[in-house]
Amino acid sequence: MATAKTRKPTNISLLKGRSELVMVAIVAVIATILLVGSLNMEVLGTSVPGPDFIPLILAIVMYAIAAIYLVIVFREPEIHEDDIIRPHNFSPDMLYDLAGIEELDDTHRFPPSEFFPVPGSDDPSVGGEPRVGGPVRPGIGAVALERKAELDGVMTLEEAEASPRRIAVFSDFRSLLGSIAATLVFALALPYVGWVIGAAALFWLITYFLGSKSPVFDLAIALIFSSVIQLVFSGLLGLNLPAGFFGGF
Amino acid sequence: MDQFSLLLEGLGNALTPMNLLFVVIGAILGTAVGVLPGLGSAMAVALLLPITFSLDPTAAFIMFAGVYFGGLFGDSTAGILLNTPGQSSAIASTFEGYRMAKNGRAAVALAGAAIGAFIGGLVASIIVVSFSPFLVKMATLFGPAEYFALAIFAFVAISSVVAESAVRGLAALGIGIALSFVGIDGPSGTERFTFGVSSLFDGIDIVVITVGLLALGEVFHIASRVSAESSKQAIPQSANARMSWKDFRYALPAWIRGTLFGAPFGMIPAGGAEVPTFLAYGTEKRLAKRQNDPEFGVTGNLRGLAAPEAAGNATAGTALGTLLALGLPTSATAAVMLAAFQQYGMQPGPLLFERSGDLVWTLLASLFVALFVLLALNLFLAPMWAKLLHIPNHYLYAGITVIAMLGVYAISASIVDLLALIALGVLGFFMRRFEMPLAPLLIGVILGPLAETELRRALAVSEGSLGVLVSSPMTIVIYVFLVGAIAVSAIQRLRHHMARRKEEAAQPGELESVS
Repeated sequence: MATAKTRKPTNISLLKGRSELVMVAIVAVIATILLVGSLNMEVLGTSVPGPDFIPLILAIVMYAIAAIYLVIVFREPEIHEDDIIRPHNFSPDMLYDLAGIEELDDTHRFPPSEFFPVPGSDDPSVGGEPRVGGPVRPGIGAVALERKAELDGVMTLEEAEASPRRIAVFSDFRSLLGSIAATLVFALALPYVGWVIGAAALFWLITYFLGSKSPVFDLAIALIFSSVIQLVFSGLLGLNLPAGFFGGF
Repeated sequence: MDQFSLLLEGLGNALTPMNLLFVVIGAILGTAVGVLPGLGSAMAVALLLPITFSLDPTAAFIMFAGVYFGGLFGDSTAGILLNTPGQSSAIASTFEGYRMAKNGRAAVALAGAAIGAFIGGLVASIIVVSFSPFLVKMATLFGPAEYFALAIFAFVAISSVVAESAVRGLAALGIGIALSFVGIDGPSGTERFTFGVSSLFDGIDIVVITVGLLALGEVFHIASRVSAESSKQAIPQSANARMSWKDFRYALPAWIRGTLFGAPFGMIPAGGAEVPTFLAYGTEKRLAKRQNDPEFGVTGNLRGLAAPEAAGNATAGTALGTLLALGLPTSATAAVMLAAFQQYGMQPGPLLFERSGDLVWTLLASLFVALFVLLALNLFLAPMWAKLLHIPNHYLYAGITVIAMLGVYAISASIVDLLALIALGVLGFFMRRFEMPLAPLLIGVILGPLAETELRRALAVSEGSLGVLVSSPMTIVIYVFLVGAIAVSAIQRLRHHMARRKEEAAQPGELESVS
């Protein structure tokens, strides 16, 4: 009987779970810029090898990397949350509390590879959210779930975590795009509105998009923060901060 | 011996009230940054760099040293209390540390981590001071071909041997090196990849890259995870840090073992503290198993925490020494420190000791002072750091965003740089989303120019003959180690792959029998 791991997940579209293609595209674009740039470079001087040599080599290497990367992203799409069966309607936490089951051994929490991505990565098994749930324990209900998983082409939580494929983490686009937009607006408006207003607005917008529940209070904090910076850095340390249309404030 | 008198002179400088103040500020900032997960000492130094321009270089570097070590003291605090390591250097400490906290021994864990960090850092600093002339002399044996070989070793080690996904690591490295090409080529004066934009003539500022990638990238990453994170803001238990004499004696061998693992790794370009801390942890785990220790992996064993902590700091200490003497950064944080030196117009390497000897020895002496300050801060003020974890994320990251913008604007007053910063922040977000490691990119940006320059220099001297790259015994040794490291990594990945295949094949059989 084929398990969920050996059967290719039946994706509705070829792109499902493959949003990482964005990254592959970035690598390919950079490789192209390197290629075009190094071929068209107006080389001054006659040193051998010249300044166009290494960029050209790097361009070729980057194309190779992009190709392999493309293959990897296609072969190991992210596991969509909907494709993982969890015990329905009951929180695993509650079940474990009811059963008095303690935290699990570390083979569950930490994947077999010895080396971790750098801090800030979203690897769910590294710190981040302290996890109190667990794999579906072998029991009658669990076996039934696993059978159901095979038949539906989805997988259990245990299989999802054991597989080399990443479990997709969903990005909150509103907050993300909002934060990026806030920084862009700041960058473009800064010369016109000056530091105090601009930085306060940026601060406030970011707290807003990061889910703050106290917008009015945040406005006060934002203004205090940007003013303190203006005083300390412009006043004390002599850094040049734009004054905007307030002129010589 | 000459070094000790120089060190004493440096100590005299370091103990002036002004410099002491900066040590303390750096220590506080460093610990705070280490405690708060998601930030890191690399980011902190990057953020501080533009802001501290108007300070005297000695003071600035003393502060950076405080931040550098401070991060390593603070990073285990959140790991112990919240199961969330503050930096990757604390991951190995978190395993046993958190277990100890859950079993009511958070105080011992915090003390063990602080003392371990102190011992590791102290021994490493002593090594650096004692061996610095030797290191400097060794550095003069390094010609362009040797530096090129070391750079290649660093590239490969950090991006593929140590990283989980070699392809992603190499891709990050490639992006980093590509970014370093932008600007006017030094040796020839050719414009490269500037697209006619005049503010790019000097290249993309390293501060813009580090702040964008590390700080803004983290902010965008947090923004994208808002809905997931908000319900899980765990409250840390408040804890003092103290341990009994018995615990101290128990932990001592682990501290020593950890330090012995950590110190050599600072000199090997292997990406930082992950490898030595994990090695130290693994060793304690195996030793505990052999002694049938009931605590390890269950209720938390102090040695499993003590050794990685000592290892992490020992690595950082010798890494700083290697940076100063050889000019070779062996981790992302060291890479940012190198950028800091370059911003001030200093080039770490053998000449640094000759030209800026005073600064170097004051810096080294400050390391010792910083270690004592940090020990005091982390032992006696532990509850304060636990409180820091209560700051709501949205204020913290909004503040970081503003400071990031401030820093970049302060160096250049250019909107182009701010836009580049944001673009790099978006890149940083993508890299976190797709688990592409950041360290190779930073190493690529910092070491890329060095590697290219040394390669061209070597080839210029040999007039195009590639043989010069492997002509000296040192280069051969380095390449042999490199091939060895790749082989080890490849075998390891193959083994895991096979093990996973075997598991998959076994599964259907198990299911059949359970029904």
